[in-house]
Amino acid sequence: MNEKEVIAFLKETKQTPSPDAVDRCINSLPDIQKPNRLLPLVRLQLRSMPASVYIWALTAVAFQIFLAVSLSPMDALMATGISSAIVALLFGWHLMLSRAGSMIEIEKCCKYSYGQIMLARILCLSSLTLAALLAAVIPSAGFSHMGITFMLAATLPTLIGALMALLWANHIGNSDFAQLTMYLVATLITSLMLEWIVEAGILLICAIQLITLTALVLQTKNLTNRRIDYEAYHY
Amino acid sequence: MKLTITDLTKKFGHKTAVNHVDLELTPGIIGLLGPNGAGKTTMIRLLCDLIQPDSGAVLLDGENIRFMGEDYRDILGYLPQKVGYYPWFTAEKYLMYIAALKGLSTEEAAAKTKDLLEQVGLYSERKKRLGAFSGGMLQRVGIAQALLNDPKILILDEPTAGLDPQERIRFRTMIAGLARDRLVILSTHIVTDVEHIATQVVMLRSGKVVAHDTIGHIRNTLTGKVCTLTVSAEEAEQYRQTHLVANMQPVGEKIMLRLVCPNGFPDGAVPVEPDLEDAYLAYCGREDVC
Repeated sequence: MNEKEVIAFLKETKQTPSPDAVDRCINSLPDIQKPNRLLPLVRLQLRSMPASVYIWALTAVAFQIFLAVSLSPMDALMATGISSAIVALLFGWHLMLSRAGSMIEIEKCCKYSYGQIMLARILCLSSLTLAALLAAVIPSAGFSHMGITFMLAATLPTLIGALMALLWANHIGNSDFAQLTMYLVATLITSLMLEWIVEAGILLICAIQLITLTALVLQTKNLTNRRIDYEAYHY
Repeated sequence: MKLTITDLTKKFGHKTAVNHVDLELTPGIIGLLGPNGAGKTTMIRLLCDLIQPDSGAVLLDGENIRFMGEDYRDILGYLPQKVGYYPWFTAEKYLMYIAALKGLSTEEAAAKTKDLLEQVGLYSERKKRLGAFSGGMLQRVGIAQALLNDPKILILDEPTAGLDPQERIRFRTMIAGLARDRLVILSTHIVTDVEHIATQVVMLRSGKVVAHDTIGHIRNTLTGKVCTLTVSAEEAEQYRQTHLVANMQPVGEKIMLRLVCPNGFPDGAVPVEPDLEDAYLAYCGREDVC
């Protein structure tokens, strides 16, 4: 019998044993720890962003389309990578959202840890940036000269930026400022290396993407399941 | 449920904000009183596990809260001194957001949001953006968010700041109703808020606990040490420099002073029953007088 069935069974037999015996039995059952679920938190963060963030996303899409169409493939690729960092900077204030309204203390006292809240924001930010990038690059592939190699490579700065921010959150600390800095620096460095990565070939690009995505999933899972979190508060 | 604070210390540079504090707190309403810079907010941040102590620990039923993580935050409700909010949120959306962060389901969150907005008298303003709220309204929303998860430990830092007298009475009634099986810590400068509802009082000065007892016992320590004295305006000014003056009230041409005198009354003084404000002055007031 699972816990629900046990409780139902005991309630039915309540009349037979002494009145408080069943209650004591139910109370002594161990609490089932419900793990914090990530998806509701990500959806919550998506819904909590102000409309201006989505306007920035549309602006980023327009800019990326312009780059893809008007520049040579390599220049467009480098510019896309750097513009991902700029877009991340524009969205990045969302990572600092808690400071905007002095919400940081309240959010640090919630059941979801602050690290998990930051995780959800990084995933929102990365998803928006990637979606903006792919929304621009894929349709324009037909009328620009960007091939599949370039399109796959263009996603690397955002993916690696997100991974670096999560690694920092998981193993170093909860500072939102530090995570945003890691995100931007990693995005920028990766975009500057894109030319070399593309020249190395599509296999290397796919390998980097696979490793990055696997690491992202593992870091996300680690942060989501973490129940004990030392909140370092920088006054 | 018992919250035990053992040898708790926190320093910021050269300043010791909380200085080897030992306390045992049990369910009820605990008033945390102290002047500015006494260490109240630092103490509260330590109790909320927002900052880590330099030494000592806070134990909940024997378990260090630093290692409890989510389990401690699950039973904690906290109202900070400055209520944080996102200005583009409506009151309703704000409470739903915090409720979700506190792990409530959508249905539970909706029910609690409605109930709490009614309790704090903001149900009619629920669709209004927080950016348009007054300070008092924001404070009430802040109180509501602290109560969303039905916390067993409720920590309120200056909860009545910005509230008018009617709102303060409503707040006191609400908190008094909650305290039956909860530990409520109420940090405030407003002694009357504590006097009406607290079961125990902790007084802090310069990071140290100078008094921890029931209100009655603390008042009794000042029996025979509080008096009134009617003097001229010039004399009143002199007494202000040399004595702990709890109150100055004009009476015709003269001024009636209420003095806290642990070392004896001046001539002509009339002894009166002490109240908590007198005790606050005696324990947390100036060191250079009386």
